[in-house]
Amino acid sequence: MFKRKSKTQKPIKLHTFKSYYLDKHNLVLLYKKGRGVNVEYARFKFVLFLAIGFFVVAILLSTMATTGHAADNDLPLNIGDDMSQSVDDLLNGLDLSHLEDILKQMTEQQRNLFGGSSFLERIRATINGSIGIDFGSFVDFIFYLLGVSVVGFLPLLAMMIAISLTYNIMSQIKGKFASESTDRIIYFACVSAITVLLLTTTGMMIVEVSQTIGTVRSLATSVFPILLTVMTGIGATSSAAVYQPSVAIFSVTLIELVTLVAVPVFIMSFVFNIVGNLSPNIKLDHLGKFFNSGANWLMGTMFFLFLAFLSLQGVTASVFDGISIRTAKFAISRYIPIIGGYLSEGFNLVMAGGVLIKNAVGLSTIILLFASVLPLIINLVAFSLILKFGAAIIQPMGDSNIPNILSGVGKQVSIMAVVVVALLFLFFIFLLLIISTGNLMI
Amino acid sequence: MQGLSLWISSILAVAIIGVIADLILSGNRMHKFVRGIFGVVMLFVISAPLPSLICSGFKWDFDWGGSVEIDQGWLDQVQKKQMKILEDGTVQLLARNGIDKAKVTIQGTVDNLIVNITQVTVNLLDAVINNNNPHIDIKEVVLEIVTSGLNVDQSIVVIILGS
Repeated sequence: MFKRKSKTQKPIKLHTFKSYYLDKHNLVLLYKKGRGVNVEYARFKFVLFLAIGFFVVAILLSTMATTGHAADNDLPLNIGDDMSQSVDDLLNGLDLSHLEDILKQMTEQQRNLFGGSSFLERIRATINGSIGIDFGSFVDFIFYLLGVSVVGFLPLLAMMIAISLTYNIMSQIKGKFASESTDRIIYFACVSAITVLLLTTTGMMIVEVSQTIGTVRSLATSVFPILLTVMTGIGATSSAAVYQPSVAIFSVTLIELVTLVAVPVFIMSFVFNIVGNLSPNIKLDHLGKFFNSGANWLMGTMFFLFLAFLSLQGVTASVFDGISIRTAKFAISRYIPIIGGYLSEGFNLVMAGGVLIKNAVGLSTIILLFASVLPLIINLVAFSLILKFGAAIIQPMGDSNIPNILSGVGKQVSIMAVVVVALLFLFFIFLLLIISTGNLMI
Repeated sequence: MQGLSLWISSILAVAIIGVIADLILSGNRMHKFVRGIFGVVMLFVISAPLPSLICSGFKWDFDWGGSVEIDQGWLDQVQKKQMKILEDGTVQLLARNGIDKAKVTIQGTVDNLIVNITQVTVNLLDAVINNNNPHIDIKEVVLEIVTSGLNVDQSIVVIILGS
């Protein structure tokens, strides 16, 4: 990897601390006085990593914000107007009714984050170069949701603290007047009251999780047919064929995995945690841990395998499509000798319109996805934090079982939040892969 | 998947029943026996799927199938646009060769940019011929332009001339 500077090759100074030169295909780093090779190599790796990161981000951003560039040529096509007309025609032909329905079911705040109450208008705005969302407003939205959630959970926290305080005061003042059984009854009553409160709130959270997963499923089943149709239309048929079974796996198997495995395991762990602290005779915490661990491994493995296969197949198919399209363009200009060039450019125009639509639909779906799932994630995080905070406050009062219950439930809620985040991440990556597919064909 | 969910739910149900029994029978002589029975039942419920899994060779009933419906109408629209470009190109080709305002209709398919033309109809009813030579055979000229321009056989080209 590291070679000494050759006399015939001129080094290119890149930074003050290092230099390199290009030896045919290899980047050759040079030694620097007082610096070890490992330091240079580590720096190189770091810089390379940063460069790759920036490159990937730049590519993704460019694919998202593609606004249509047409090369100057002597064709009698009015590129600007034709492009706009072509995009409009193609856009109007898409069936976006399901996505519009999903958007209608959202709250005002979610629609504000999305940037409007019409999916079609959002796509048009994206095509015209208006992403419509910035980091500041996004963070504002998150903090707004966090504030609303925390305030919403404060009464629950106050009641739990009040019950624990009552139990501790009663335990202190009863002295030797009350029997052991009376003490147990008081304890049982207090824990039952806290359990009822937790059950009610957790039940609501589970309903919210199920609803959001349902929204994610609807979003997946609505948007992927559109994206795959557009991909087929722009000539990325191999990629569309590769992604087609992946869409089915994502929107059926993986989402069902969350609904039918992660949620029941969450309920199970929740119940075992409370039961384990309610009765000293029955300990089911290890069973709960086993199921938690099993569900985590199952979900983690499935998600990882899915992503790995999706990425590998997607990249391969994308390259294949690129070559196919270039070959077809070459064939057009050769097979149709006189107007072949005109045709090739004209087809390019239609494909560019399709790519713009695909990217805009993908980007709008990503924003819609975040707007749908973020409130739930923040709610879950806030609930978990409130429970852990409650456990931290109650613990110094003396009793250890109630803090254990709260802490345990808080941990379970965190795991649930992680599962939802993983699902969101999977969907996000899937959309990014589709957005980045087919862009290099025009 | 449904089976997995059912299994988890059954373990949960047994655990809840066991806890309720434990709380009710607390201090009773039957308490120890109930706990023992509960443990055995729990063991059976947990290991219930194992025989069927072993028999099936650990094959899961995940549904990997399913299909995504592609919007054929939209693809037809894209194809129409591409055919329109082909028609416009032919019209412009004719115009460059002195035949203005000809109407060209092309039938065929464009699949992954591979053009397959089945019929070309050139309507010259409203056409304006800007050619100084009055003795040219317009049909022959158009046929030549279209067949060479689109690289198609003469047999699929239909030319509509005025009376």
